[in-house]
Amino acid sequence: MKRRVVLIGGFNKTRTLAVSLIKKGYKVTAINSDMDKCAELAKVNELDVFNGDGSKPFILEDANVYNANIAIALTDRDDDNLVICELCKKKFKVKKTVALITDQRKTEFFYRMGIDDVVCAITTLASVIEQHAIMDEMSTLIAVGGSQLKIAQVRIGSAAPAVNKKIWELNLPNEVIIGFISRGDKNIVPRGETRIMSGDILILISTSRHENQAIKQLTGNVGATASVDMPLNILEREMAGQVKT
Amino acid sequence: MFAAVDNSYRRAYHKTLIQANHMVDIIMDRDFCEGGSSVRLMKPKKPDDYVIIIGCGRLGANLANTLSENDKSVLVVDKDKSSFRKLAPSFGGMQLEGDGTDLSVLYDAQITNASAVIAVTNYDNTNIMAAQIAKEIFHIDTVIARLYDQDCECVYQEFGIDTICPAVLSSKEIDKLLKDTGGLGRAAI
Repeated sequence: MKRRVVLIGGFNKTRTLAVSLIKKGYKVTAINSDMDKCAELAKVNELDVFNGDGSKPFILEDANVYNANIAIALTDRDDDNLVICELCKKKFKVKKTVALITDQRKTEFFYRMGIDDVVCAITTLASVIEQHAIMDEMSTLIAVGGSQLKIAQVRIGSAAPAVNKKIWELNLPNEVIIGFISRGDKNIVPRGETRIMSGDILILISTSRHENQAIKQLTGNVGATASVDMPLNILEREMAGQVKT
Repeated sequence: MFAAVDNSYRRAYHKTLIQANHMVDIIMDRDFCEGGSSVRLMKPKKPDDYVIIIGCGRLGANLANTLSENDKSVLVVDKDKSSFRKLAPSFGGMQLEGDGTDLSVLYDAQITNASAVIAVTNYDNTNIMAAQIAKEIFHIDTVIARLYDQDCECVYQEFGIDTICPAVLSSKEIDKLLKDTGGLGRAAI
């Protein structure tokens, strides 16, 4: 049997989420109090749409919410989302409830009321925007293996020293590799002969010690995380000494 | 501007608080003491009397006026300033403009000192959330919510929130009137 997801309220979020969940093989039901929005939502293939106020038990009953796997409350109002999730949890025995909230300070309160997952749209959005706005040159995507290995996204500006150079000409540290180059619509797997162009986005895989050095060589700027890991440096020296003796 | 208004409320509240504590120091209740060998302090007046009303609609305003007439200290919270006009000119309590489900507004209202919180906005879900916040976060003993619709009972019944449903009350009252006036020969509802 298909896993069932119920989306309550919201419109653009609901539509995007519904399309994505249906593609993943879920059976999705949407509940919206606005008739026009319901008509619009009904255009999504395989999406069941119910018109009504999702914080009313009889609407949830009509939509057959009972025993659904996931209920996601996406209305604009925190109080509505709270009541919807509590109803789904307590009356309709939904296995997992997710609430969208606008006021981040209520997160803990929502968890205490028994809601399984609370998403604060504004904080999430703000952090994504911040990442894009401030870390323009570089943003660390993933830190792997106790953060000694880093995967970073580096944008090459027109004034960067690496522009129009072939990769073998760059003299990058041995611990650094350019894994991928994204150039407009094209994705390039770099070879030594590949020339770096202005506007390229490089996916850089490096140890955390050499990351900043590599970024400086590529862009001319020091990365946002300019701190050197002291203990590792000491360790490195010690190891070098051991090799010598 | 808003902050300034807030502070004036706070000051006003602190003033009443100080006065109340002062009274406690002076007034001693000898009736409780047998033999008169010891004096006992009267229970502080304030914690029994501080009531927060969320929502200044007709019910909220009426309630605030009544409580204020009975010498309770009352604070009314409403996000719409213009709704405070419903309060009587003689209303001696405080007004606070803001969302009654916003934690910072509730801190401004000194909710931790309140003996009762009454949620009477015109929207059921807001009342449920305000009542749950008062009960679960601030552990207020007496929490009352007005709900037009009692369908969501399972949501709040376990929290010990008292609810009032106008439709149920009205039908009971009408039933009583019918019985009293003999409108129903054998009323058995």
